[in-house]
Amino acid sequence: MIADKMTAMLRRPMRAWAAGAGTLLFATLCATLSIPAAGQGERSLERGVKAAFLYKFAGYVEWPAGALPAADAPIVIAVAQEAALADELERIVPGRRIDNHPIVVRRLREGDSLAGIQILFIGAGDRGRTASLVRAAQPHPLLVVTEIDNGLALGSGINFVLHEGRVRFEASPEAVERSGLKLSSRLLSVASNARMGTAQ
Amino acid sequence: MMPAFGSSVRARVMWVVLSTTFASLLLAGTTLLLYELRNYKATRIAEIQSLANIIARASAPAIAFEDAKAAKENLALLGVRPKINAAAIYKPGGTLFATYSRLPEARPFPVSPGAEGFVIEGMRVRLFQRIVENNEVLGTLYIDALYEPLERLKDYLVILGVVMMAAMALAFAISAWLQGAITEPILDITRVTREVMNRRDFSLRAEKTTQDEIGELAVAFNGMLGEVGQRSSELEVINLSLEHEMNEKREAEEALRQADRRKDEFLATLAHELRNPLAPIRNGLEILRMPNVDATAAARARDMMERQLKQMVRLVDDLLDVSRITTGKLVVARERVELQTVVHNAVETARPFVEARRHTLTIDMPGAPIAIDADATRLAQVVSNLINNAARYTEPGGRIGVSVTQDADTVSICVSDNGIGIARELQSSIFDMFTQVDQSLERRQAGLGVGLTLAKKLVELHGGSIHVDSEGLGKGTRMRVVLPLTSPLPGTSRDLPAVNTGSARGPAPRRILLADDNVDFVNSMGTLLEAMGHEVCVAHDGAEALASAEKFRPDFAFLDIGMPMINGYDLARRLKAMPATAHTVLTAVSGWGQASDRLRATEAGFDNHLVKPVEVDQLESIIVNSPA
Repeated sequence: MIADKMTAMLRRPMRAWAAGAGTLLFATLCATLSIPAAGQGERSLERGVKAAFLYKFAGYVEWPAGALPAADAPIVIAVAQEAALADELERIVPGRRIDNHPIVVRRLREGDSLAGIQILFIGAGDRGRTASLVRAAQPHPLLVVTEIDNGLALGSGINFVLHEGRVRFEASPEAVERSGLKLSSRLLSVASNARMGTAQ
Repeated sequence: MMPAFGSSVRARVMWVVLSTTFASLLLAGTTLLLYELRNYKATRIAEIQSLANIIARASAPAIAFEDAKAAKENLALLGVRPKINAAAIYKPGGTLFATYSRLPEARPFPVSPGAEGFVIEGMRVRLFQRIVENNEVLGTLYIDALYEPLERLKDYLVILGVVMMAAMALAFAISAWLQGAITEPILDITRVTREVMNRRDFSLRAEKTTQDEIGELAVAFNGMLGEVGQRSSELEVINLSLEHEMNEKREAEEALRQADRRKDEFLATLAHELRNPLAPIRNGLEILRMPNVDATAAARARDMMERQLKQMVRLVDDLLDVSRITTGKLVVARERVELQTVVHNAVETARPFVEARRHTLTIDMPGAPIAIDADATRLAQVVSNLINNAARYTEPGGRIGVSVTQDADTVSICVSDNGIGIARELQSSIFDMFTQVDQSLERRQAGLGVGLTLAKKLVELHGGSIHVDSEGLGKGTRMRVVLPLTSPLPGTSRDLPAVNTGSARGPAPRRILLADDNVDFVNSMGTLLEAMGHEVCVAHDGAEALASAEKFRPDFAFLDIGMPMINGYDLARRLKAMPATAHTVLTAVSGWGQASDRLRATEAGFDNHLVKPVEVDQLESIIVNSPA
């Protein structure tokens, strides 16, 4: 039953593409990843997957004009409260480009300015601090990615979740749009909350 | 070669239209089909390619974010396209990431992705497409789709077939409607042709309904019909005249055959008639030869022999006349004579025969003399012939009448009898040569059948005509000779010269030379002349005659032309050359009496010319009439 319903829901955007209309109809979607999440090794594997996802998100986000002044201006991915993931990310990004933009990793510390950042990852940790960071990022044209339960409720654009031991993500296009960004509907199509049929 | 598609022009025109339509439709259809086939391939591949592009793009996030389920769902969306058999997504490493299969028993997926592009394998096309995002190859999309150009072709063939049939039907209808303009005039001409053939009526004409070649054809056809009709009627006329000529020729042939038959009969009769007197003559000779024959018997025998001889002479004379008629040499020497005398002579000639048959002969002539221009001998021959005929064809003891009647400018001599008469159907042909009135085999009244012909010719030579009148068989016959009358004679009949009837008064004795290789003839003639008191010398060839003449010095010489040693002409020249005979009266005696013969005789020096047979009277006449 559920599978039928999901197919039916998915068929609509497919048709929309075929018609050439790329408007967003779905708010929040979740993605599943077949990554086991247990133990230290599993923890590091999970970090690797999240780092790769984080870098790939850049390909499905549209920043407002001015956020990326030059055609080859670097896309800055700032990592807060999770140094290990920053390490992993730094290992991946060299040499990679998204739409001709090189990728730069920045470790965000307390009091660092959020200016010039395109993607802000807030690692799991204190919920209050995460919430304040999300709030602080709100006026900036950047994509906030969290990995906390109910992260979207805090106002983040994308939130990693673990589902059946696999890394997935939820997305909130509204939250992203509030920061002046746009999420690709193609990304939304693999967001896990899209499959739940719940917007937000 | 034209296909055997019906024999009529209508069918042929239809065939042309339909085959043209069919051929052009077939060409157009085939071209369209080929184009469609090629197009199908292009569009099909493009369709699958674009589908692959869409799926690849849609599936890119699923691969990027390792969402196999989403990828599978994406592929499953291909299920709305029934022509997709199966699809799969391979990870960059070549492992299967997601699959879709329309049918459970689908073919196994390739173990590893192939090179990018499509491969057509029979009824399916397999396509590999790299999934690229941000210059990064995320994986490979594999699509196995149906490739059915033949299905497509089938549809098109059905459409083409239907269109073709509809077009043919339309072409048929239009052609049937329009072709009347072409075929009708032709059919019209054909109808006329058939009519002409059937009725042989060349006056029929085809109607010129169009101004095109067919119209010209109609005009030419009419012209030919006219020509043929004219020639045909000309031929008919010629045929008719030919037929007429044929008939005439046939009639002429029949007439010739008849004449030939008559001639044969004539010959048979002639032989018979000539042979008949010979037996009594021989009997007479036998009687005269007997040693103790008494004078009365001898005189009877001589009389009998003389009669028979006269009969023969008459026959031969007739025969000679016949030959003269047939060669056109019968001539009459006309002079003014008294008709009564001529008739009287004729009656006297015929009287012995009339009396022999015990007929009663009455003569009725006007007292006043009637003068006509005629050959007295020939005219007498005609009348005596008629009297002889009347006597012959009347049973003994009959009545024969001779009358002469004078009209304004003609005179008629009628000889009538109460004899056997002449059947009406024969009356027109009795004047034809050799016609025998009595055609039965055992006819009693034999004749040569030339008498009337001769009479008719002679009368015609006198400018007159002869007519027969008989009520029919057994009713008697009336023959009438009509002659033109000349102006009345001045004076009386005493002025007329006496007709020379060959009287045997004795002439003064003369010296006469007779030369002929016919010994009997010349000897008997010599004997006769000597009996008349002349001195005669006889020679039997030219040389002998010449030798005798010099010593004999004859007053008269009668020379045969065809003699041995020296012929008559040469002999005459030599006699004229000799002083002893230079003044001898020379007379040629020949079998030829033509003008050229006479001329030749005159040139040779002859004074007279006699045609055989010669009688002693003729010699006597020359002797008497020549100056001493």
